[in-house]
Amino acid sequence: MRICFRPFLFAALIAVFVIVPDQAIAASVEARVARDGALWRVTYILHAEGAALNVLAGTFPFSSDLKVERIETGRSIIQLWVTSPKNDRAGVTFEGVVPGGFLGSAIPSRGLTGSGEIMTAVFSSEKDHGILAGGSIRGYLHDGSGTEVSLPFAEVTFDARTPEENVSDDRTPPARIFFEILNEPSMLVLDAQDKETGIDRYEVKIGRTEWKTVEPPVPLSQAERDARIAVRAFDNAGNFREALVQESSPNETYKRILGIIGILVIVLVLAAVYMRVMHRE
Amino acid sequence: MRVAALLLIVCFISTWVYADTASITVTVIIAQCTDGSDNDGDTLIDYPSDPGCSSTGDNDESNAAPHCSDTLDNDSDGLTDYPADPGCYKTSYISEAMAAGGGGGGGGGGGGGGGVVSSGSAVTLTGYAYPNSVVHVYQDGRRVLEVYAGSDARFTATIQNLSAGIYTFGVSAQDEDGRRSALFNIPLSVSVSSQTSIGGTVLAPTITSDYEKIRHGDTLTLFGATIPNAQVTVEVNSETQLFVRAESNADGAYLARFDTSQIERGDHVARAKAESETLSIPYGTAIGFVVGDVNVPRVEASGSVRKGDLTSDGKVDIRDFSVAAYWYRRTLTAEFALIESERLNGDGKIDLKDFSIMAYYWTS
Repeated sequence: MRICFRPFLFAALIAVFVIVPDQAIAASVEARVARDGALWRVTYILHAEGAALNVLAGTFPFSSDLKVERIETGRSIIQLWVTSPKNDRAGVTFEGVVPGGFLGSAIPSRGLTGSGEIMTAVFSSEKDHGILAGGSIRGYLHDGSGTEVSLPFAEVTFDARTPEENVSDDRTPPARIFFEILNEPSMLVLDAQDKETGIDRYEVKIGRTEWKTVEPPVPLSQAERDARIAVRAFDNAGNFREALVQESSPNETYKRILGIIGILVIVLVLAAVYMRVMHRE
Repeated sequence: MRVAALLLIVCFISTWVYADTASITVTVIIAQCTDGSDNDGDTLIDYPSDPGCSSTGDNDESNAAPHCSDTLDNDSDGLTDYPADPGCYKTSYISEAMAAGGGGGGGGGGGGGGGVVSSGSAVTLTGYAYPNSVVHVYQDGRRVLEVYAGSDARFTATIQNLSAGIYTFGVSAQDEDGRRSALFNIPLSVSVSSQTSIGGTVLAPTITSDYEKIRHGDTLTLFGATIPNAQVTVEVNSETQLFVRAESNADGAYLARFDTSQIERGDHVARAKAESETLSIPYGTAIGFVVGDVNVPRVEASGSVRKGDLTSDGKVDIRDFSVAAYWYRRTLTAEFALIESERLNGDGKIDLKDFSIMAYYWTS
């Protein structure tokens, strides 16, 4: 399959993106529902409609009889999450960034489309139906100024008649983990990607502590900067990849050796004093 | 007896202290060809990107013969060596295609659940940048590939070893004077074991000016790079919109002059587009200048402040994103507030608007 986007097509698209005024934004979000056995998969899709956007944020509300089982972001157009999608009282809340902006997707069988997946939420329900309330999320134009626009979405209801979708199991762990320790502010930068169900969480093990779930970036104290640091990235299917950020630094090793020597000296001095006292007695 | 007891106590304490402070160290040796580092300094990282690597277990990235003069079609694109293969900038160039997989740095390490599926899918991007420019290719916001455009500004970049899924590929280029184009993003759904070609990736002209502040009535020179021998239109935004025409030379350089008495005093922006017989190139990133009472030359030192660059490393990337995420919803220190005022929107806080600005100026 070969796609050849003629230059004028991109030129026209970009020209539209550049000159489109704030009030003319026609971008919107659509919730598409598919049944997956006893679960419902709701895919939230951005229809950019000629508006280049680089930040999306907001909440997708749902009825109280629905329960979020998991949220998948592996196919998302969002590459960096300021706030990873999470289920709170209001619905599924998220804040994400598309570096370079979203212009549309190039799909081999369909050519260029101005639509892209934001996330997929998988719900279970006490009843055999559910309601996804309408509303809007915020978008920010890719204009260098961060102009805010509103992206509406309509209410969607679904029930047992909703068509089924077969979803293959995700058995692949996340791709390589990117990590780096920054100095100012002192923190551990973490980023990984999973092309199927998406990244669920990160865990960090610092020194001899237990694995702890963290939200990157991870602030580090001076002592933690010198300690051995390992990280894990989990996808939404439970697969994980582990990487060693650093062994404990030489400084930390020297401190430990000095500590041992110091304690030994104290013990020996105490022992000498004790023996001297006992000898006098 | 007492001495023996005392020695026993000392030994016990020593053992306890040692056990408490020392840890069992397991050294994991990661082969050079899978360690995420450019061990031989050829800008290519790991297998299969670095031709010095025969497999992920190969512990030597170096000693690769230049693919651009080995008479082989190493990247299977039907073109062999410099100058026929557009991936070759010169005969000594190490790779014809320089494909890279995975992320930008960091170590892999072990992992749970399942094995890595490598479907061997590849995506080839072709298009136009600037003559002999460096073209950077990004995969999901991380730079994975670097190719050189030919003297006609045409480039070809192939990203290999992709698993099925949705990717966002980005392309930007740096002209001969180091000015960078805006990032051109192409989200793409890649299917299993597929070869996808995307043509028409045309990068907008770069632009700068000789003065950032200029006296009203003096002549301002705007210049940059685009494809060779094209008609360039520079748009100057003011109350009366002004269009200045120019023509790029064989090296893609263009230069447009205009008398600033044609526009009012105050802040202005200019941007350029280009057209040739076969290509129509859209407007690119705009540059600002001020028309007033004094002349202040524009300084484009490599260390100059760049919007979104919170770590002052000349790039806007995941590090800057992390710094901004750290300060998100926190009270800024006076020191960081100064950085925020220079490099973001200067409202004294980090919010989504600042992330949008960083995404706009994103480089790698």
